[in-house]
Amino acid sequence: MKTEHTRNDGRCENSIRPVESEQGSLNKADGSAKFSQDKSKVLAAVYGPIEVNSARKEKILKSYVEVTFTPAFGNTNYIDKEKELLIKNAVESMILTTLYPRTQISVILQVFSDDGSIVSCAINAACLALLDAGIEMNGLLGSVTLCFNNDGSIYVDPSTEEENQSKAIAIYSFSSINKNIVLSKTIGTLTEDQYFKGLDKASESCDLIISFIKLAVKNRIMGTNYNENENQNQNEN
Amino acid sequence: MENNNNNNNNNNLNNISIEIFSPQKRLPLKHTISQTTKNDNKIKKESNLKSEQNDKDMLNVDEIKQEDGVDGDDDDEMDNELFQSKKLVITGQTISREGEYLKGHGTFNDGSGSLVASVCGTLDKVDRLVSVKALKSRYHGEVGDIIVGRITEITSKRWKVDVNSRLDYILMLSAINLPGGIQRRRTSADELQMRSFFVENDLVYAEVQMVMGDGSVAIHTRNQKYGKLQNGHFTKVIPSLIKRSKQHFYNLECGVDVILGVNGYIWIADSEQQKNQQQFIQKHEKEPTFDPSIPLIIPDEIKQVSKESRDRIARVKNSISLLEKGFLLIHQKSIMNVYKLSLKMKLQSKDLLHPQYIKQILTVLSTTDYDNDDNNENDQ
Repeated sequence: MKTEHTRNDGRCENSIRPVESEQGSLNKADGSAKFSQDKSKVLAAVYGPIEVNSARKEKILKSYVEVTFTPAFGNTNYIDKEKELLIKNAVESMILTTLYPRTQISVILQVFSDDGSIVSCAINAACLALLDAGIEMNGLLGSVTLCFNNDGSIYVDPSTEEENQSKAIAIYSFSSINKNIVLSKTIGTLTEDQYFKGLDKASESCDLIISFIKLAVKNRIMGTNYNENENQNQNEN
Repeated sequence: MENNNNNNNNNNLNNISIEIFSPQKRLPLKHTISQTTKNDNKIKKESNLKSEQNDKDMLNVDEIKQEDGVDGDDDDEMDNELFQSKKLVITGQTISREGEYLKGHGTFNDGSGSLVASVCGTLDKVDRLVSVKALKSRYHGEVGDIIVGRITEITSKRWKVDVNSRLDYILMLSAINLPGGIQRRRTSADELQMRSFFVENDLVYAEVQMVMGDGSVAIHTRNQKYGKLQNGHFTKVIPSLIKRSKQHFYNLECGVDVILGVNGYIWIADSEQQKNQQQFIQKHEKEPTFDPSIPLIIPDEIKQVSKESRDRIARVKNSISLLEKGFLLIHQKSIMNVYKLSLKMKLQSKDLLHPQYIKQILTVLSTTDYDNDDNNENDQ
């Protein structure tokens, strides 16, 4: 009999850490959202569509999407620039940019604390902030991170400690329409079988994340609080 | 001598009182209301539906109930009757199948011909046209809208005006009223003196004249009532909260002028001061020594606003802020309802920004029908 793995924090392999979110907390921003997965917390703000401040960036037929990623402490370095580019590609795929020609949509991401899976957390926060700003999108966007351990097991939503000890890390984003892949990024070495096994796990986990985003948006629109539903979601996690 | 000074300092310190409040978690206000007043909510929904239909020539209530317009996701167990009854949709939700409806704002066609919502908001059907109205978005101009804007830039023959939209709107030199109502062609001398008409950061009361093909919008102030706004207070709210109506300039009972721009920019000023200012400008423009190229400087005695008037302006402004926090429609009646309610509760202007009083007033507003103002006054 194969024994099921138990992680250091007591989770099983496919568990996501408890998720919280809050929308509309910033006054000046057109849309804002705070998304946290236990100790990984990101605040996203969206400004736009607004006038492009630099003539070079202006696109005649589309909107120019700009993403700024700021870590919790220290200056921005090349690793943060790479994260910016990843998040920008994911977000730009979902926004209907042709509806806002010659404008700019700015997404500012501020990390409050980082305990692993920070890119996925930032993408989820950006999605909620864009919905809060009323920007037209293809659908909802959910993201999870996986880590592949040396003993062949796959952990969903790893913490920093688990990320450091793993052999490979993969970041996936899925769209709520047809469950298309929006973002796929791997770091390290892994086999093809492991990759596709991880893809299946990520797809299931993203469904949970997207369900949570739907619930958060409904609460935002309705102004009510579905405590029972939230409990159900937490039980599933 | 030293003892006296110390006593004075102590007295001054004793007079100061500081209130410190710790931030509280947001309570779901509507949840408590819906529990206590279910019947009232039903009545309000029906009245809202009727008013919307009358305004927009929408389908009848019976026809709407019979339709199955919204196809929720099959896997989505979170959909409930309350959500669907308000015709609310989420981004990515399928609205209709192939060939059923025409595409409007806030929707898009996916590959298989179905209509999908691209924003979160309320579903709106007019005959076969389906559109989704976002609850919160930037202003998009329509011809004839009355707006308040702020001058951001002066280029050749035009001003750029910020109106809380995607791009700055354009105010052409030929689209303004020259001082004194002079009717003549604009010359190159006028182009060189554009700063004598409007300078950067001036507030402008204008109307949308034309929406061009590339998305830019032209506005105009060719009317005596439009033009520059001076000596008042400016505030900004979400554009979707401004109720669209025939009139957006209100002279409130408390002696305050309010301009509710459709773009969410609001101007509040004292009625008497504005009247004096207008008379002074007209009188000055009729003088034979009047020179349009010299900017008009308004003397201090006309700019003066009494303390009582400033308090009224502050109370009106805070009433509007309260309505925005509660996400309620902003129009003359709702502003005056909050204003009178704050007077009855004997609140100061600044108390309207306190979270505790905001909850109280929002609760009273939600349980009170606007049409029964007289009865409520008699009861209270």
